[in-house]
Amino acid sequence: MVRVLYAILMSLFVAGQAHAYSYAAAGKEPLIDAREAIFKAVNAGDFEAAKQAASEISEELTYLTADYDHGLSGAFEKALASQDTATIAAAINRALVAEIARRLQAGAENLKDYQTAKVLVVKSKRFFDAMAGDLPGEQRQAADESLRKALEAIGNPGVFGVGKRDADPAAYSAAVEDVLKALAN
Amino acid sequence: MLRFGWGTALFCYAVLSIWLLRHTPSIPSDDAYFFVNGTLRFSVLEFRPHFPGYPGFILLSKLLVLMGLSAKQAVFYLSLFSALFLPPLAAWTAKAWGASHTSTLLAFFAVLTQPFLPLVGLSMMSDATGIAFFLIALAFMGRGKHTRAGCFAGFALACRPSFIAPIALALLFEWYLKKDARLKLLIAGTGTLLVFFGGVFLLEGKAYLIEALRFTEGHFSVWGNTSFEQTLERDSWLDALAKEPVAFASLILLTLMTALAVPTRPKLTPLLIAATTAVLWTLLAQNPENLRHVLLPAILLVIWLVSLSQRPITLSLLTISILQLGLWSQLLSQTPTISPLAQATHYLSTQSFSLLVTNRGVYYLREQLSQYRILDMYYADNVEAQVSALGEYQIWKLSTSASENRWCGNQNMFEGRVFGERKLYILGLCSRRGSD
Repeated sequence: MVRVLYAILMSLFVAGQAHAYSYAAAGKEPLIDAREAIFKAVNAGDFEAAKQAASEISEELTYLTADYDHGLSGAFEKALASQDTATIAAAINRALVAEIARRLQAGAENLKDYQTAKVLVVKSKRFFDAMAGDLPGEQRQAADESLRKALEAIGNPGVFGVGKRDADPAAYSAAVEDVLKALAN
Repeated sequence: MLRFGWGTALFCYAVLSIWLLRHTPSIPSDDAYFFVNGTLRFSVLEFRPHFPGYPGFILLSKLLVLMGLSAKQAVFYLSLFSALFLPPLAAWTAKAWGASHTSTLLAFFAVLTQPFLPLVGLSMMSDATGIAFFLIALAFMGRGKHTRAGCFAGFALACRPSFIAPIALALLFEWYLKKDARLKLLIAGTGTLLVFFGGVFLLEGKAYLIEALRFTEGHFSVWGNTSFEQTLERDSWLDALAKEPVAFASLILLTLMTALAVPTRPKLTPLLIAATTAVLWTLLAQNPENLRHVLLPAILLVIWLVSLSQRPITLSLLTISILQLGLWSQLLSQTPTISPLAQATHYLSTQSFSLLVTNRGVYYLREQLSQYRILDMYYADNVEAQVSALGEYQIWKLSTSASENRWCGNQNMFEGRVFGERKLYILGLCSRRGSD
């Protein structure tokens, strides 16, 4: 009850600049959260804090480096050492691309399980949306279109078999390749 | 006298309908864009539309597409005609709850002149459709037709799930009051909900439940701008009042009148429960940035007040309605145009700017403006870093503020079409660093 009364008072009297909102943002995503933390430190000129924020995702970076992008950890360290914002941004985007590749390749292994494949592709789209602002328009739209094709290629079991569409592994692989090509440019 | 009153009210109704129908369908927000996408292909996980999927609204817009409309037209006209149905539905509901002939007319007129009715009508959102079904449910409840009331309450929630609190409490109170109606309400209400949301679950699978958790948590803690967020950085309803004081005055007066009237008629009814819950729910759980949320409590308060058929209340409501009608002079003098977001998109598409920063219509703009890099202000530190690093770029911001720290206004302002629709401005970057 006290909490509700507090909330009512807050709703009336708390003022301030409303922050932006993004439906894709909820749910903990270490890479995306770390990107904000790193940039917050970089913007303040505190590169030690940036390294500290990057250390929070060392496990993710090690995993992605081992399986998806062999030079990733090294590039990340060099970027932080360079203290150059653009280089750091490029390294973070490289990590995000590796994360997208990870989800899409896991999707390829799960094409027989529609639900899992769909969640993986949609999840990769969340990472893409988070970095889409860093991409030139044509590149962004090409990757977006290829992601849509990947989603189409996982098929659809339909409802009680109505509208059923089988997965198309070849189309899926081609779409994934196109996504990664568009992001690599 | 009554005939003259209805003649005047219907004339005003025709004027507003014609003015609203002269607008061309145009996307005002990302949410509306998601509804259009959802009408083309439904997939909650892909935000087509976002959770919970609004299956009732999407089904109706898909029916309009089958009748030959484009997806954009379908969503636009569904929203618009739903809003135009609200005055007659409010009159019908008031009548069902015992309003006199005069009070029924007053319900029609007071809802017709609601300052945010045009905003809801042009919003391409499901609010008006949800309110319309809720009013039908309340009308059937007032007439003792509980099966139909349950069904329409289910339809209302399938169109506008965020009305859960007022709808559920009104149903529960009716359940408490009328033992013989319990089974009918339960079967009709839950049956309708099961058909719609069971259908969504069949389409989306277990991922729908995961998205439900993620989205609900996000609404209350990340982006919903609700009172439950543990942050001081949010717009309050007082800020909303400061932005639209005249349009808000009627809601404040309605709330005050209700507060004064309740002691004289202390009998709790599902209608009063729905109205008070809608006021509290809007205060607590709705985003003060979106003034369309105000329409549901305003309409329910009007219906409850007129159902009392007390002379002082009738006279006060008539005065408020006439004052509200006075606001139309500002509204109807404007030439119908497209939404501020669509105007801004059109302007930007003719420019050679290269980078845009915004938190308005990010998905829509990214789809429409292939020549731009579009940074999402939600990721504020990323934006700050990019803006500082990209020295050679010409950087612009699409904002609801005329000027901000480090962003200078220019001459590009895109007017809102109706009360409560925010103007948009294109601002230029004055300095690369926030502290400059």
